[in-house]
Amino acid sequence: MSFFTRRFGLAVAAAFSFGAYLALRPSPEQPVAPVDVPRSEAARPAAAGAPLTTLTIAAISSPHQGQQVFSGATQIILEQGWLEAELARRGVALKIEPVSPAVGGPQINEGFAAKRIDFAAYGDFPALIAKAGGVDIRTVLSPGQGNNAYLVVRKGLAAQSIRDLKGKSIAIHRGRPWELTFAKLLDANGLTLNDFKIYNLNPQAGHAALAAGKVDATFTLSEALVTEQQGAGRIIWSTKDAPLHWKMRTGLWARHDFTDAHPDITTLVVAAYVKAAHWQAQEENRDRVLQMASRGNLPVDLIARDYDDPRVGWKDRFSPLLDGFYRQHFSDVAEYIHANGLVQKRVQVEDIIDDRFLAAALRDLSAGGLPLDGYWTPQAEQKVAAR
Amino acid sequence: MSAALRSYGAGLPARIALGLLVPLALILLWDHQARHGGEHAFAFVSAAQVAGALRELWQSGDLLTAYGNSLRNAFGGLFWGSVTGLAVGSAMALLRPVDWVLTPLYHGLRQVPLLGWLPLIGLWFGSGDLSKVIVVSLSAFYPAVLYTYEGLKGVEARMLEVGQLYRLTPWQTFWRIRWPSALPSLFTGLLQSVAFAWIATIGVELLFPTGFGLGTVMQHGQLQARLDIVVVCIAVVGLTGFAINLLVARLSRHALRWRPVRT
Amino acid sequence: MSAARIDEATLRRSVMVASPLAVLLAWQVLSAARVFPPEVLVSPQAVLAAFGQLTASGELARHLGESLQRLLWGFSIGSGAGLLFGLAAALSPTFARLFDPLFQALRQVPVLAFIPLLILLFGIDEVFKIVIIAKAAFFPTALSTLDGVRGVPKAWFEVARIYRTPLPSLVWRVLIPATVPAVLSGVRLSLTRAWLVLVAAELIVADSGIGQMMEMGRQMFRLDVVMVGVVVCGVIGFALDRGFVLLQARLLRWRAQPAGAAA
Repeated sequence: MSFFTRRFGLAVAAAFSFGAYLALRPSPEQPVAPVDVPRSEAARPAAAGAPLTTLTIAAISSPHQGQQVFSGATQIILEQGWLEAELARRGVALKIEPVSPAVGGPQINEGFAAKRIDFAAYGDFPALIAKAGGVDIRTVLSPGQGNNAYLVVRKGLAAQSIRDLKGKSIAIHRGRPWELTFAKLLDANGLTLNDFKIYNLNPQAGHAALAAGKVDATFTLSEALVTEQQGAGRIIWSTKDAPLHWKMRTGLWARHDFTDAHPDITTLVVAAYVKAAHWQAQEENRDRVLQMASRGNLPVDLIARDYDDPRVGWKDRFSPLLDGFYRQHFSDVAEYIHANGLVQKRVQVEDIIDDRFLAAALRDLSAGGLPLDGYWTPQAEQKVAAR
Repeated sequence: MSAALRSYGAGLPARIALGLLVPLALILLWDHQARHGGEHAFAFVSAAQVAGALRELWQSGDLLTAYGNSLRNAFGGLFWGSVTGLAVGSAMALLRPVDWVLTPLYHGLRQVPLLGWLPLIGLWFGSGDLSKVIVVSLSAFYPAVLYTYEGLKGVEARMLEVGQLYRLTPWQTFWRIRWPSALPSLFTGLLQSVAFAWIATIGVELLFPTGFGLGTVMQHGQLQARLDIVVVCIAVVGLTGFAINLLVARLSRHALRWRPVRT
Repeated sequence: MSAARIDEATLRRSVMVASPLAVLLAWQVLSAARVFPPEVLVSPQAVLAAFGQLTASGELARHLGESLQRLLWGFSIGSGAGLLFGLAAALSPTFARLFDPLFQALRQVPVLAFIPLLILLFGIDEVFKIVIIAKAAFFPTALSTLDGVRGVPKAWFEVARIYRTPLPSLVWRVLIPATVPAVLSGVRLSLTRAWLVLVAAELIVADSGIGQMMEMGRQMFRLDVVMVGVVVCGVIGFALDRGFVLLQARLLRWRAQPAGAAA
């Protein structure tokens, strides 16, 4: 027994050495974004004068053929390589930190708070929640003209509008950006959350619940198109039927202490996003843009359907401008999250929009030969009766 | 220990056939629901669709890449978690002051779900590989500590008395008495650690997006409402868990064959 | 001798109380010294304030009540079913062979992966959450019952056969006393698992409960609320576990005589 035990001890030791080898072996090259080990030290010195070595942008990522691809303009920036080259000339490395579509908001907030990331393109709600929680971030560019939200009812339900759903059950993921759109829809129809049985489910669970007939309706973003295509439900309303400023908006958010310390680099980053927006806005690139977008969650035809809104031309979909519309939207969000007790501090819209870098970037790029003068114009509201 | 895997008489093919009976019946029922427009037809996927998804994932190479990454994460976490668990558990069992200091902390901390730590781990360590390894290690750490501790503590007093009689040195007492009698418990702990590390790997991949593992593919499938992809992932995850379990159970049976138990 | 032992017990108790306090103190010092910015490391006072706020508004009590109710149901159903399953698998080789592969494979898939399927089968109300908890509680009890029964020395069965002991008394006089310790340790693990999974499940799908409170805390960037959740989870889980250990000691004392008699 003792001999055996000893031999066995050796075997365990050998097994663990192998485990150690597996654990310590350097990870194979990550395809797009090398994930270097985040340092546990919380605060990277961001004070003016401290040399900047790495610039970190967080972006929603999805797996695609064994690689990480990033959503929207970030992927284009990576593929264009312009920003990386410009930064390299200044001795700065570019790092893209992938975050999950499901918990992107909180993850980006945590990254901003720990000063682990410098920029991130993400939704209105989580950004303002972080802002109210004392994380000083500002939006420096609008990565597009908003995402659509959809109301889907289950198969076999005759409802035609939100009013017909009174007393029925609706699944919505609370605390996510489209909650505001939902609130606006209810408000416009003289309804409140108490008129329904609300289930707090994430979009995937909401889809399953609707498909199984366990809820009468769900309110989500473009995933709704998949639900409809699979025959599990029917879309009865979307933000295409509502005023433009009801759409969920995103921003390219930046840490304020970073932009203060490195205004030139900030302008460079904003310029890269403007370049990407300009590329996307070209009619001849439409197919490629749709194809890239479909590497996320939706097939190309559904992306095209989601993008299709007669009020917003192809070019304007990608307008980076921080116009009056944008301000109005964020003012509404700030009001909503404060009035509903989601945050304790009222965020002032002047404190969250910083358009200096966009102006500088547009000027620089125009001077560099890109025809951006008056290319995009501030959006104007078009009359649509709220349904 | 998964004693049910031990053989008692029947030939191996017969046992395998019996074991496949229930899963097969379930698959047939599932397939029937999918194809014959049962109550939830559109929410089920047919076996053919699942086979298609499997082919698709295999041909694109996604499945292998994801599988390899998940296994690497699981083994890395398992290694760190069980090594530290073994060390901490031994220290607690053998040194009383350490026991006193760590016991309340250990028992309090292990009652906090790993998912509950995620916001804080995300905040302190980012959403990269480090966070993943930490979560997986923790899941392997808890059972490793518990079973090391109980195994080393649970030595029969008369064995130790015999040791005293023979004037064994502390090292000899450990190596010849405590370690062999703790082995069954250590194995139970290892089995638990392996199981939890694998579950945690998939769970954390479902929630942390970096890298490219089975959980990532599964989550992506869920987002696209591609149930066929989800089913392929569940099957691969389940089969792998089954295989790892079988391996550890066999290993432990081999190592503990001197124990006089019924099977 | 006895005085020394009392001293040791007192020392032990005071160290066990002091060590969590020391951690608390370290936390306080770290946050007061601003080693990390307050958004990264919430101060104990902020957590205490959030705790006070949540208690005063009755929110914490409401969430906790919901969670504990779910725990009670899920744990009872899951560990009860696990006991029956483990017993059946240990006593009937055919049953074991039929279900073992499915059992082992399912055990290895995180419940997160099954959520769409569970919604399909059980809807999204309480039943769904109770099923998730029951699944978690099922496996440890089933496994330890199986092992406990299988681990009974062969000789005992031979003796029983020689004496032609009928099955009921074999179960009552031999199996139960011999297996209760193992089964109870499995049930204890089930309780812990059930608690952990409960909170995790509530993080994903629920409208109330301590897990949902933490999830909303994360969404709303209220890390003080998340931290309150972490601490409350740890304390409640610790109390549940301790309570079970006391109960276990009681049960085993009561069983001590029949066990001796049967052996």
